[in-house]
Amino acid sequence: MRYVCTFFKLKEVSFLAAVFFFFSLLTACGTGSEKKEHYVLGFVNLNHKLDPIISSLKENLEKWGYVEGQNVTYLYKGSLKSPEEIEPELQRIITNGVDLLVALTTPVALKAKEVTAGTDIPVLFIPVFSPVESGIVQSLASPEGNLTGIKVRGSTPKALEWFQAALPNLKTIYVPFHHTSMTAIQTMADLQDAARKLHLQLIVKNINNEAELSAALSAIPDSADAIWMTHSQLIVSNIEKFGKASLGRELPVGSSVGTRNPGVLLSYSPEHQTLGEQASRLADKLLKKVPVANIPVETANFFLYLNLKSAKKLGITIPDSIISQADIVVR
Amino acid sequence: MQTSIRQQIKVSLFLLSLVPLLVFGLFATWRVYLDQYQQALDLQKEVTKRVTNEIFILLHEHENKFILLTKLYNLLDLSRPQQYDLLSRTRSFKDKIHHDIIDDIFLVDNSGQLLASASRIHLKSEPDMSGIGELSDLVSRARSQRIFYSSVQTRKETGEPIIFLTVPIKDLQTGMTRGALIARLRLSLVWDQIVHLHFGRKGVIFITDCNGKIVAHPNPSIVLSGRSIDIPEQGKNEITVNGEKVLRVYEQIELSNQSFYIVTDRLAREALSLARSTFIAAVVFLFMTLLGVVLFSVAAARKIIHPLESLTQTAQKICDGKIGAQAEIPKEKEPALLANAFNKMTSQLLEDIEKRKEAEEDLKEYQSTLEDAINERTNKLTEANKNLHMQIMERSKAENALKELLAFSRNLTSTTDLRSLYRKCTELSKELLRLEFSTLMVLSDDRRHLVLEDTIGLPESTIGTLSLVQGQGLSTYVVQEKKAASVSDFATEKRFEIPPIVFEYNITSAICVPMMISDEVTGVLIGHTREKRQFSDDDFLLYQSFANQAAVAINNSLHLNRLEESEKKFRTFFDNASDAIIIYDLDGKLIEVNKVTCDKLGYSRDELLAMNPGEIVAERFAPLIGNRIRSIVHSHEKFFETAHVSRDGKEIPIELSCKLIHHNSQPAILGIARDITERKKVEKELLKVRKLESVGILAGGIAHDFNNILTAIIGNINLATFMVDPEDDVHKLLQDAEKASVRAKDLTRQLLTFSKGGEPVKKIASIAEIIKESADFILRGSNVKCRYHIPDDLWPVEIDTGQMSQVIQNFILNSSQAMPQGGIIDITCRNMAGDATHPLPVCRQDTIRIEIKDQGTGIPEKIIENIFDPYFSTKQTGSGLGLAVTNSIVSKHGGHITVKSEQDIGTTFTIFLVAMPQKKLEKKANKQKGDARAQGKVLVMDDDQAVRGIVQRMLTRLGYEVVLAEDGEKAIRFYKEHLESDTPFDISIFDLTIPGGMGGKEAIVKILDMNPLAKVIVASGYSNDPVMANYEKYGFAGVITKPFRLDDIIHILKTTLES
Repeated sequence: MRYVCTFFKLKEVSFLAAVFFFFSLLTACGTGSEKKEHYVLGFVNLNHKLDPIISSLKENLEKWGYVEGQNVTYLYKGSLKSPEEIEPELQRIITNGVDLLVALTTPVALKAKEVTAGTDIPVLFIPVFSPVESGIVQSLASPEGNLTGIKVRGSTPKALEWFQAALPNLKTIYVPFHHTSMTAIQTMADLQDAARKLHLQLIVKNINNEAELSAALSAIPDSADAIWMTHSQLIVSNIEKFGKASLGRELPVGSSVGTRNPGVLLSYSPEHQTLGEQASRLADKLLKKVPVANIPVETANFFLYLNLKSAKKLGITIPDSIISQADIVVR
Repeated sequence: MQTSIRQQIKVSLFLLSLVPLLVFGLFATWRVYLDQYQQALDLQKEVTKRVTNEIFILLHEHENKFILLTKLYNLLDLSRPQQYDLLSRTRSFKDKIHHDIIDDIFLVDNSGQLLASASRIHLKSEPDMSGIGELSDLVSRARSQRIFYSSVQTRKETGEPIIFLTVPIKDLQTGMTRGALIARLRLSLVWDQIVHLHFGRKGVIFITDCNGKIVAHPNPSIVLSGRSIDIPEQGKNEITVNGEKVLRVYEQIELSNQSFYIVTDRLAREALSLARSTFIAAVVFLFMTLLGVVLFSVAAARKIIHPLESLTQTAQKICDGKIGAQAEIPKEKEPALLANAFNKMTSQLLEDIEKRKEAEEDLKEYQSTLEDAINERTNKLTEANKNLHMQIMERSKAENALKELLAFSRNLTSTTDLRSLYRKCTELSKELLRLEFSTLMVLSDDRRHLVLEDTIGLPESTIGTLSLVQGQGLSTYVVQEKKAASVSDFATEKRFEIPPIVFEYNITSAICVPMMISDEVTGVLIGHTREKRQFSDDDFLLYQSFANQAAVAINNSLHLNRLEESEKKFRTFFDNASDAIIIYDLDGKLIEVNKVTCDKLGYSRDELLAMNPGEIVAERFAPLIGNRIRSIVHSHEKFFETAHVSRDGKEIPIELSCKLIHHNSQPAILGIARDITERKKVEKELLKVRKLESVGILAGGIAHDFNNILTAIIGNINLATFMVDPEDDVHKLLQDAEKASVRAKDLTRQLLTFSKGGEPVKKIASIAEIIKESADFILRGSNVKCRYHIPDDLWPVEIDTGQMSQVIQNFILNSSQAMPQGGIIDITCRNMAGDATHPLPVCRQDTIRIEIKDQGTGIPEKIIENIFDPYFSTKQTGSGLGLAVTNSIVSKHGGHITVKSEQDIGTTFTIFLVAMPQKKLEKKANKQKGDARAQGKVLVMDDDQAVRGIVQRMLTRLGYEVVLAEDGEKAIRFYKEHLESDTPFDISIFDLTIPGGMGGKEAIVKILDMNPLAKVIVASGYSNDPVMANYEKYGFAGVITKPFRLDDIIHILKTTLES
């Protein structure tokens, strides 16, 4: 370099330096790589039975290119024990900084709406029974604010129709009803409407807590031909009690919840694995900053579940035409 | 233009290596780029094709499923349960991705009648027909087309895209269409199959309908916005989207009557990144090679050109003046010979230059000698010319001085400005005798000093400041001798003391002549020269004659100036006097007036001087003019009250001070007329106030006595009511009597307020509360309503709240009585900042303005001035005290009331009260309630026997032991006796004033001396007495106003004993 400097006049050196600089810049532009993004997702779940949805969601997100440990981090400390833990947990997750908050169950979604108000953190709710009636969103087609997700309401009338088709002699159904739960009230409205159309009689028993549920299931009226399980945090958490009651009184249990639960004879309801898959697609859109208002709230896909083992124990024969249409059959 | 050998060598070398390298390199690079571009495009086409196939197969599977169903089963001839079962099974049949793509299936006959349906969500008895349209239309279309797809729709409630697929059901024998199967397909599940098939980071796959409208896209917002794209022509794959190059590839899906496009977009810079990287690498390599070529060319050129450059640089140095510069001898042979020859040439050139320099030195010396001789001759000629010019100038000046002297003599009497005259004298005398210094000095008024008034030659600062006393200088000598004198040489002068200024200015000789008026010296003219000079007799004669003329001129000028100054002073005084000044002749005719006279009377000066005296004097005073002039002439000075009449007919009361004077050498009368309009008004007001005070004193006295009487009346009646059965008729009679007595109590309160004893006991308060409480109280049950316009930030006022409440009540009562049919009273309050120029004195400080406006009949103009007079009333009922008391209260508060009334429109009373913007409102004290103690000993002191009696009866009834005293002395004695006997009074009630004896105010002092903890209540009919308002300040423990009821006694005893 020293030789070059003394050998050439200054003007020539300047020219050559400019040439070097230009090519260095050109080379750098041509070989530059784009920055890889990293995402953080937070989960708040009030029902440990919904954990499979989270697993499915994570699994399906990998198909969309979100690989845990590489470009995505999940914040989830397990399902919460009581509703009082929801807000602190949401605050903890938000403080840590998240790109997407996944709220499982209606109470969590409602609290998430309150806590994230005024922020731009998107919230994906799964599964919420009826987001409009619960006040989470005002429109399914164009949810305002920062929340969208998957609703599960809509399967009850069809579930009852399938139940009636499976049990042609069905006349009266016993329904323990958690009457302080908004979700249970909405299910009950759907159920009563469908029962009226299908000419079925409902015996409704109001319950407030787990003890009353146990009492209700141990005092099923003789006139009942079957038991129906409605949507409610209290009822879903005690789904096994329905199984025991079913076997104890030899009464079939129908439901629009509780897919793959051994105590249930028939259900027409969403399925956790598919919910996770459906949610992963919405999560991808939200992470790609698609405006929430442009992501309609989707209705879950419903699956007909038949437990032929239970049917056998109860001495019930399910018509083949029903079995052939079932999505999940436990034999 | 010269060409550079170096450049030529460089260019030649560049061309030999650069051109082939560039041509080959660029060609190869371009080929590689095109190949890789095509590869990227092929890859994208492949992806598009695969996606298209996937979707096509998916939809065809469903088509086939329905076609198979229609062909395998004679659907229309089956029973309803069978139809439902088949439809349900078909709907539930899962496709390969296990999703419910079919939402609903409908079976329709040829007429469009729905026969059966199966739904994912809805009950079979309640099929969802939304969005499907007319079934008969669909069947009709199915007749003409094998398979029929509707356009893509969006469900309003969920935003989900759907499409209806209609498959005709044909009779297998006739081929006629008998009905149709219609399926609602959930396209979102189809689209979901493709949206995750993205390729690259920015690649996107989406679906459009045949018109290019996007119906599926990974970003649902694009679908919802209804955006369309342009399908590019075949073969044209590169387009621009949002300013970026995009590679767009598409494939079409033909579905019976519908077609869709599967479109893939990928950013060109991403798709072609490999091609571009390769291209850049090749270009970089190419240019690095070029750089090597450049370096080689430059090095080669330098080797050849360097010796030539060295010789060029040496030649350049010689050009710049470094003649001795030698060229560097290079190693190479040919350039070394050239450098040696060049060095010899420069040495020879150096010798020639030295010789030439010597010749130039000789030439310069000769030129210098010649220039000196020329300069000497030129200086001599200039000097001679200058002297000649000076002589001409002096002659000219002498001629001018002579002319000035003649002009001075001619204009002597016309020059009046003293200062100019002094200057003229000094200038002309200087020229007259060709003096170097010319000075004029004037004798002071006390004739003891000669003051220098003007000089030429001596400093200007001596003018007016240099003065000489006798014995100092030639000038004082001349004044003393009264004759001209001269000094030929001050160095030898002995007749007088020589002023220092003479030596400061190197003066040698002087001449001085006196300026004489009637044999009296007024000043001197004195001239000095630096050179020694003997002044001739002609000089003395000429100088003295000039001095005499100057003395006359100066004397005239002095007199004229004094006269003008005197006239000016008089005119200033005359015109600027605050009073009208008029000069009359002895016939009473106006001969001079000042500006104020003209302004007041509204006439010009000329008009007034042309008028007779009777024309400006009020008619009733006109006959007195003659007598008054005579009395002035007799006594020389006189003082009258009279009245002038202005041009507009307005009468102006005046006070005329007259004096006999001389004006223009004639006897005349100087009159100074002072406008006394305001004083007359004040006198009138004063009269009114005195009238009010007299009535007030009378009223106060009556009220006090009346209160004592009322105390006995009310007290007894009140006590009697407790002794009679409430159901008894007597109880009712007693109550009526008590009510009547209370009205009498209110009347005395008004009288007291009006009287002198009703001095306001002021405190800081909100007038807004008082206004509302008072007005509402008066208007309760009336058909008149109040509207308040009172700002929240209204300033507090310092007022007697009771009295001010009375004021408001009186105005409201007045207004309501003016509206017998009902109406609205508007009460408006506002803050007014102090205005120093306001005509109302109260408004010169911060005030609040309260306006009470009714819609009544108004007050007749002829009585409006009397409404505030006491006992003036137009009503048959009423004391006539209301507005008089009101006016009295407001006046005692330093306020003011104005009234404006229009017949049949209404009356507006406006009250101005002094505001206290900085003060805070006092909080109201809570009143204590409860009964007094039922036992104890009470000392009661009152001069009125009836009052003592009723108080005793009341207290005895309550269970107290009572001791009575007629005056303060007795009360003190009783108090002392009981205190010393260890049976002290628990509480005492003292009357405030005892006529002719010691009252409560004096007695409390002595009681407290005996017992500082004594509890004494003051009682008085003068409820507004300052002692009553500030009883604690005077040592009392409580206060009660007469007349009082039993409840009042209970309350005061309770609160006082507990305090």
